Amino acid sequence: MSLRQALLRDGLAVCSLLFLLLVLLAALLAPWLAPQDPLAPDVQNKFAVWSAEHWLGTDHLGRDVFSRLLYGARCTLGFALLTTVFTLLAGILPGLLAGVLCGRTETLLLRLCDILLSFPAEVLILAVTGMLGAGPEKAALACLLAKWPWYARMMCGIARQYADTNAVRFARVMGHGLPHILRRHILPRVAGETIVLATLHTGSFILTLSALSFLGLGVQPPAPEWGAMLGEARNALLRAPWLMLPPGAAILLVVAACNYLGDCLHDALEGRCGDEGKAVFS
Amino acid sequence: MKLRTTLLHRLPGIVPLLFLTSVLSFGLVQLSPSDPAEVALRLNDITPTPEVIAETRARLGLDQPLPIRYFRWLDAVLHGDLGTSYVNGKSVAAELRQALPPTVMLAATATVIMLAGGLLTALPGVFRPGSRTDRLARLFLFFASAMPSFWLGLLLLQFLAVTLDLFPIGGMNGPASLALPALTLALPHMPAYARLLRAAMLRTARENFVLHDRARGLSPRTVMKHIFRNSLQSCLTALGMSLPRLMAGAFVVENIFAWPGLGRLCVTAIFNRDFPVIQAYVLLMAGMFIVCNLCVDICAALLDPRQREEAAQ
Amino acid sequence: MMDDTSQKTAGAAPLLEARRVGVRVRATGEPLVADVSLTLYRGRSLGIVGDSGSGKTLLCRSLLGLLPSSLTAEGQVLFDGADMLHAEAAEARHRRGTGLGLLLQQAMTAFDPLRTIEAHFLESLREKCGLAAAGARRKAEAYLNRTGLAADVLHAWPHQLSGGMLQRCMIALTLSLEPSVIVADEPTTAQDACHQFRIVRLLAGLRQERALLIVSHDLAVVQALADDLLILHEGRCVESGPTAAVLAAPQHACTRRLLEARQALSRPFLQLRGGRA
Repeated sequence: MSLRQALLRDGLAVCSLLFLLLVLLAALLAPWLAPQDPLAPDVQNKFAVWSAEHWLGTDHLGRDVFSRLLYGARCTLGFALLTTVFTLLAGILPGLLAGVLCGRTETLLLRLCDILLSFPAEVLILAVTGMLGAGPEKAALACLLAKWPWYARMMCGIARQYADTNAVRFARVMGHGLPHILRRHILPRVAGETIVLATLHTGSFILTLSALSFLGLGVQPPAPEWGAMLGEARNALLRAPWLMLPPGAAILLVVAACNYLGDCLHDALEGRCGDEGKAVFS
Repeated sequence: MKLRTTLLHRLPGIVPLLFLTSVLSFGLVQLSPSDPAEVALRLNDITPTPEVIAETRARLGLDQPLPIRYFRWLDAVLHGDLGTSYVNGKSVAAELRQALPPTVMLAATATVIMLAGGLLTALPGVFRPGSRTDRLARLFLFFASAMPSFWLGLLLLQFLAVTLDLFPIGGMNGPASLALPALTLALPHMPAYARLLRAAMLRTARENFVLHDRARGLSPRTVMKHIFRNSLQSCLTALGMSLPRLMAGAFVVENIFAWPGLGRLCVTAIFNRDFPVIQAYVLLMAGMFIVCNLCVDICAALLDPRQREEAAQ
Repeated sequence: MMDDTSQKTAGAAPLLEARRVGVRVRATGEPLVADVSLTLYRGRSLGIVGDSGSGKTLLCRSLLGLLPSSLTAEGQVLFDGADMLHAEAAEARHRRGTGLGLLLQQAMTAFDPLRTIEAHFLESLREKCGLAAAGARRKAEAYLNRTGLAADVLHAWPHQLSGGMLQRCMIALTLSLEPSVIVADEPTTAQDACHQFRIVRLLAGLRQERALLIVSHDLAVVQALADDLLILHEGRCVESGPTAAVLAAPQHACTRRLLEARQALSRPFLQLRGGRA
């Protein structure tokens, strides 16, 4: 497990990992940790500054910002993670299949990906949300449609590399079917790359999805999503400018931690491959 | 003459791409779960009874088979008619024409800021890797890459426009109003370009001709000039595509700063389910991307003596 | 070290003197070149021979103070009153080009692909010799002619010229700065026999007015050009002395091996010639 060792050597990476785990834990335990109901308005007490009762104050409807932040972690992270997983699936499966099958399937998939990738993701996302309308699942679908070709192309390349190994050739000669080859030979080998990709890109998914929620195209207002909270804070900018600090800082920190961790994993994986390569050639 | 041969090489490639784009943006409306005729009626506060819907469908040409509708639409588009907005009945082409210059202006300013900032933050990593300046630049880039642009926009708005009153709060009036949106748009894109430039410069600095330059005792400034020109050449395509990329990414920033550009037009149209505007936006952006790509390739070919030769042959 | 040489030219000060030069990897301290000393007088030439990986190129680069940042140098390289290894950057830089010229191994990549040959000449001559465009162009043409190239090469881009032409351009460019010592790193590799001959003749002509340090793994080239010889093996100097003496009675196993290899390579040709004659 040199990947784990490489990770543990870097203090900041450990901090990022711990921070992310903490946020995930807080998100899971939100109902027990949150001091108040995130959706209960208290019009008497709106725009309150921080106090013992409301740690981070209250928003324009008098809702407790800290509780909303905790529940928001659920919403934001859950939403982003689900989108990441589905996008990975949507990209990896065709990518792997094409990589293993080679030939015309591969050419066709790669050509399609090239065409889709020649447009900026933003335009595709706006086009799809535009046609489907606003809503969390539609925003997620838009993200998925815009980003899957990238993963598909990447996975196709990786699978191609592994499909050329003797183990896979031997399995083919032995008459094993495609599902067996995929499950036994290809999937275990691409698992590492997949985890790195997922970590590296969860951050960018959080950014894209919360931007859509911020505009009102993703998660809809009463729900405490961080981007949506920022959208509400924006409307109260002149009255209570401090309201934009907690959700914005939360997004920044989580995305920064994801990016750092992803970069570290990426380097570790590259380094590990490099070492293996050296061992082969020396 | 050289330009013409380059064009002749590249033009056939983009025709199918443009065709595909048109099919895609036409198809997106057809895939939409809601009936355009019904949406159009609702927006004008007409109760959609079956008879009225049928009449509207006939008026909008929606009762024709798909291929015919596509070619009719394509014919209109090629004649500059992008349809009329469901909401205000205005010509979509006119609306886009009005919204295009602000977006181009914003994206161009942001491109300049981004390139200047990207270069400034990339240089310490080339000259003094590991120095304090380098570490500071890396830290800055790291946080810039994790910064949500909408939060950055709000922060800048609050501190520089409201508290310190240095810039106007929103809208488009004068060059001062351009500063904050352009900065907000540029900053999150900066890390990727800084990384690109740094990698290119480090790669070029290891080239043999740089050693030859130094062996002749040329001044560091001259050597740097050569490294710089060669690394810019190697990432010219990425640099050239940053303008359309930023134009496409401007929709969040335009919303925060009430910038009357294409992105805001499109987001408003999404809320109103104003399909002709969305369709025209997608078509325009995708078409612009293809054309820009071609232009950048041609420029790169013209600037590089090696490619210039190849293109002429 | 080279007693014969110093006796021959006693009284004249050496142009270039390297004292116990070593090169190490900065990170690990692993020595790549160790303890090499050499002296070069005006009008003389020194050949450095060794098989690939023996540190010849690194030695050349350290003589000019141009080691990559991942390596460190020790010892002294005295040229024109300065230590090229430890002098200030500007001081060492002023001595490069006009004092110490370096001919690189790969001529194909030695020119900036985005500028014409003329731009290379004009810029170097302006910066190093203070020549204006017209004067620089005349000088460039003169030196190109000496290397057997026509003046219209000036308007070519590097990618339009062959490796041999680029090699001669590089020689012309280096010579036009009029260095007193020329360090030539494998000047004949990657050249066909015809070009090799021409380059060797050119370099032989230079010896009279300047000092030449020629690095090669090709004994024939060194034999034709060098007055003295220094055999490098795994970063160390294993043998040195006048060329004829070293080649006539090689002391070190490595030298003998190099000689045998050369004989083994040329034997078939000699046999062919013998058979025909």
